[in-house]
Amino acid sequence: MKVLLVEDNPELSLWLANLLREQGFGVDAVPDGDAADLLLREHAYDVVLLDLNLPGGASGKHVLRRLRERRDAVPVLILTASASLDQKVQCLEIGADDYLVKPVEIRELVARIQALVRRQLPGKTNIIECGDLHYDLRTRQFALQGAELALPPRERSLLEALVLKLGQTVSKTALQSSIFGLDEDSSADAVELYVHRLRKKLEASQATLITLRGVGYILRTRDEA
Amino acid sequence: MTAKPPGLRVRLLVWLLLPMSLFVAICCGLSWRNAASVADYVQDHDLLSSAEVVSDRLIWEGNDIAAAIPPSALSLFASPARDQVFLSVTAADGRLLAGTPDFPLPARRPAGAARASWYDSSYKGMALRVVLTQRSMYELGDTEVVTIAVAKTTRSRDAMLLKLWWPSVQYLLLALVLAAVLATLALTWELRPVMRLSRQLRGHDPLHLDAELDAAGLHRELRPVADTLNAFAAQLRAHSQAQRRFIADAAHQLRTPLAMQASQIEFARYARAHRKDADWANRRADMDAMWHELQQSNRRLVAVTNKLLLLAQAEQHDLAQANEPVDLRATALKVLEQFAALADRRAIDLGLDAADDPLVVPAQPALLDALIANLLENALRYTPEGGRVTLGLARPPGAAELLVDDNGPGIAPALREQVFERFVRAAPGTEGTGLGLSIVREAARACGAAVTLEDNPCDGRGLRVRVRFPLPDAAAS
Repeated sequence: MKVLLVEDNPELSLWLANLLREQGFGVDAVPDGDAADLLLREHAYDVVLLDLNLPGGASGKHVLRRLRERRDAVPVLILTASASLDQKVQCLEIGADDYLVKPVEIRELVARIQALVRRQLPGKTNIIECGDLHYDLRTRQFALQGAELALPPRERSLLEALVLKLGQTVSKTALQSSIFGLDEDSSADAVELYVHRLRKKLEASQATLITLRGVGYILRTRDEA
Repeated sequence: MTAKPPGLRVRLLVWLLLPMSLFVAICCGLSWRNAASVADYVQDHDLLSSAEVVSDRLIWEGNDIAAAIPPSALSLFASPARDQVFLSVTAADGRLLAGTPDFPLPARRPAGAARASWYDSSYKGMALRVVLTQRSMYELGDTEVVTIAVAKTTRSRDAMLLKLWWPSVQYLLLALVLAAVLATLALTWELRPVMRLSRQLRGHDPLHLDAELDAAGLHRELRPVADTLNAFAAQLRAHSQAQRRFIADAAHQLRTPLAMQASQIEFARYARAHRKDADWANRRADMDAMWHELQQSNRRLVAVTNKLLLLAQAEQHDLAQANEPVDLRATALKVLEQFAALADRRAIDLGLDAADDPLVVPAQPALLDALIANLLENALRYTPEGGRVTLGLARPPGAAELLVDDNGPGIAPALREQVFERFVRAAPGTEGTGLGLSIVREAARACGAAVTLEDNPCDGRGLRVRVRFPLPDAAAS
């Protein structure tokens, strides 16, 4: 699950990013609004954590407003030190999905991120099912035919990105950015490698990972004969 | 029921004869006037001559004037019409010198300047024409102005008028009758093709579409009417034939799976009635197989029915239902996703070859979906396992193109037109309804696009289907 953290305080940013990574999230962190805007135009994130007071041209509200003007529906959680009622109301009005006042409890933050992701899913359930492959949004674990499916972190991130868009095509670049952070070297070949490995692990499953040449990958149940 | 309006021939005749009759009537009136003026002139001239004869006979007898008018003078006036003649000779003081005592003289006598004047009058109920002349008589310095009036009944004048007028009336009436006869004949002759057309149409059963009007003998103005009616009938005939064939084919297509289902159900009931409980394991296996087959034939039935409905929908596309801008790329991607699992099962490499930008074409979204889905379904069905199907989007000048390439067996050029026909299948052994390409063609037509079949240029074998959406040049720039 890919999170964009927009926070100008480097220490807080680092601390939050590390905590979230420990919880299994893929985190990209940027310190200002313009960089956030740029990233949001190029990449698909599952959740955006947005500080309101940002240095430079674009404030958090600016970033949010532009995002919604582009009809991008990615869930946005406002992270701020200001607890004023007006501020909260205004942010929710211009398109924020949730509002959290610093300092934050990491458990609450994770629960809220998961709630935001869950809200995007059809059925709004915690368990996503693709045949006999199950994904639990709370534990962020996969299970195959009832038994836990242990996956290395990158494979898990990749499968997670696919399961969150179950039945839809996810482009190779989106998968690439879901398994690699901004600061890591990445390659499209790596995506193919991980897809290949995942396919092997899902061979016996009802779920299948289909390549649509020129478009991307789809996770869905196998077609019955 | 309202009264039928009179036929074209009668109306034309009426409109022709009405002005002609009016013309004849005016001519009769004018010739009456001519004849009357001639008769009047002759009568007046006669009267004046009589008056002059009378005037010449006036003589002085002593101190008085005597009019010695011999009977021969009066016989001058005798006419075959037996007109009566009256005479009056009066002195200036009004004394009657000779003639009829109560002769209708005018109240005021005309001045002496005019030698003669004429007027109409009546005497004892008889219409008279009168001439009035004056003569001055001189005798030993005595001067007397004598007024001579001669009147005559108008019988001979009227007879002459009639004699002059009647022949021209006769000619005119004859001409009118002749014209009426000729016009009737000409109209009957000329309207024959129209009458024939009308008979052909009237004698025709509207439920039968074999109408064929003979346009050869028709006037230039009427030929388009017959041609249009013929074209219309031909089109209706083609439609109805297509519909009849379609219904027959559809019935056949539906009957096969239905018959299969019926026998499957029959078998299940038989098995249930006759197998013993000990056969449970066998029975169960049979039942499972039966359910599976029942489901298969049911699926085929649903597929055929859906396609028939889709085809009907695509065919009956309402022109009022205008095309709207649709993103061809997004639609193609959506349909590709639907077919991803099928391609995966058959190990077919399914792909999209298109730029990332949207490609907007005018189309009806539901029909565009159906078009792409049927093309992909065909491509996936006829491509062998491990094959390759590519959906491509291209943007040549003035158009947007959807290309579906497969590396299946392809379709021989000779068959490429036929396969668009309903229920015609290039490979009869395979499963399929034979409706896919018909739907594709109708859906494309509804969206204003054209479908062509070509050889697949990429893989060396297989088929390329090209759907070309014409775009206005403004959108191209």
